[in-house]
Amino acid sequence: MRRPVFFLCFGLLSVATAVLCLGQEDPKSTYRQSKFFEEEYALARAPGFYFLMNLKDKRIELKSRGIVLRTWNPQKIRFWGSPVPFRPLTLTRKTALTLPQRKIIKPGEEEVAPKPQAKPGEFELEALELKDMPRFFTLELENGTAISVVRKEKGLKKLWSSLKWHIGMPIKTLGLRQKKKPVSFIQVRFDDARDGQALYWALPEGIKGLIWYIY
Amino acid sequence: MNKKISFKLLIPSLKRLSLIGVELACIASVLAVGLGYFLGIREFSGWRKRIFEAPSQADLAKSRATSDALKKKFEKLVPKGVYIVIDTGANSFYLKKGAEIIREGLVSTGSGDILPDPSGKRQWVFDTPRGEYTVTSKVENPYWVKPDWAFIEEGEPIPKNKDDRVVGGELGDYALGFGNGYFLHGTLYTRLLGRNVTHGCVRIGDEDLKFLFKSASIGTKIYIY
Repeated sequence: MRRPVFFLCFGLLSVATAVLCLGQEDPKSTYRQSKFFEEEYALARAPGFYFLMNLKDKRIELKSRGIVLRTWNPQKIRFWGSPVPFRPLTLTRKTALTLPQRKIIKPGEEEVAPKPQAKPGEFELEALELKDMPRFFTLELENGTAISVVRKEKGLKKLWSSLKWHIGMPIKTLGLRQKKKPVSFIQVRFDDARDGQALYWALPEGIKGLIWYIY
Repeated sequence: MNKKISFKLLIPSLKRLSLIGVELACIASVLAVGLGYFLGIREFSGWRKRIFEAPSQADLAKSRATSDALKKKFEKLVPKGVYIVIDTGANSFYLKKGAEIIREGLVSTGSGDILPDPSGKRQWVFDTPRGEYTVTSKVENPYWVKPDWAFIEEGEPIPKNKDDRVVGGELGDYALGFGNGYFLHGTLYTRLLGRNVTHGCVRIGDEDLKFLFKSASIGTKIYIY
């Protein structure tokens, strides 16, 4: 007889607690939201673009005045090293093995016209286009944070890339610790290489952004 | 004879020594990677702690007020009416109101090529300027006043008379200016929509241009990235 009464009381208590908790705000969440708004507003009130990188939700946004212009959803984001400070950071340099080159026009030279039957995406142009952007590259931020953008690898290349991360990063940590230099590494992987190329295209050197793990 | 014997004796000990060396190197690398992992993971835990400090009650009330004030400020930043977004990489445009896309389509933007003046005094980079702009002018049946680079590119002499620079029909039926001589305008080369071919202006197909021209007014925001 006692047992059902106990379970009933326990159930009622649990429901009551849950209802009370639902009504209450999470202080940490409120604090984080306000901190986040403060930092983003500092970027949004200035003309120009900025980026937001949410490591937890695997989302990168290009924004201006609080408006989302473009969103990328990488398939994988991993990070290592010191935590990135939660403040606007400037992208100081974009590095890649082969950097896109601009074409120089020779005055008076006739342009080669595309074949009439060729579809718009199928003919080569004397221009710097998205497809000329590097597929893997590194974005260096002012505080030394390195964001490397990689493409999806298969087979041995995948194994090599995994080894580089799991063995290379701890060794780098040791080296940098000796120099007393806090550095963060973020690796962003896109399954579609064009997404990485679009990111390279859209983020110019000098752009500022926020990187965070929890929000 | 003695030398031969000592050399034979030396080989196994050398082998042993090298094996010990390899073993030590392996142990050292495993220890180094392990230590690196240990230190790395200790630092790694900080990623989760970031902006995660527990606030006091006073801080909480302040945070709430700040959030509310900033939300209102953000609302003020967003354009009230329609605005145009141009993606120069994908060569596409979006006419938006808030988060809603009203119309989208293909455009042609800057080729990124460089044209040097044969005199060596100047050069032009044919990029579509990126950033936040506003529609500064709206023109129907626009004429193109060919700039110096258009003549230099074709290897023609630059005319002294301004009238010799005016060309009709090249820019389509409408043009929306956004400063520094840059326009969103029509094109005769519709096959090239979706590609980077222009000298910096944004070319749009006839129907899309007509829609944009009717929807946008002077002051409409244009975001080009």
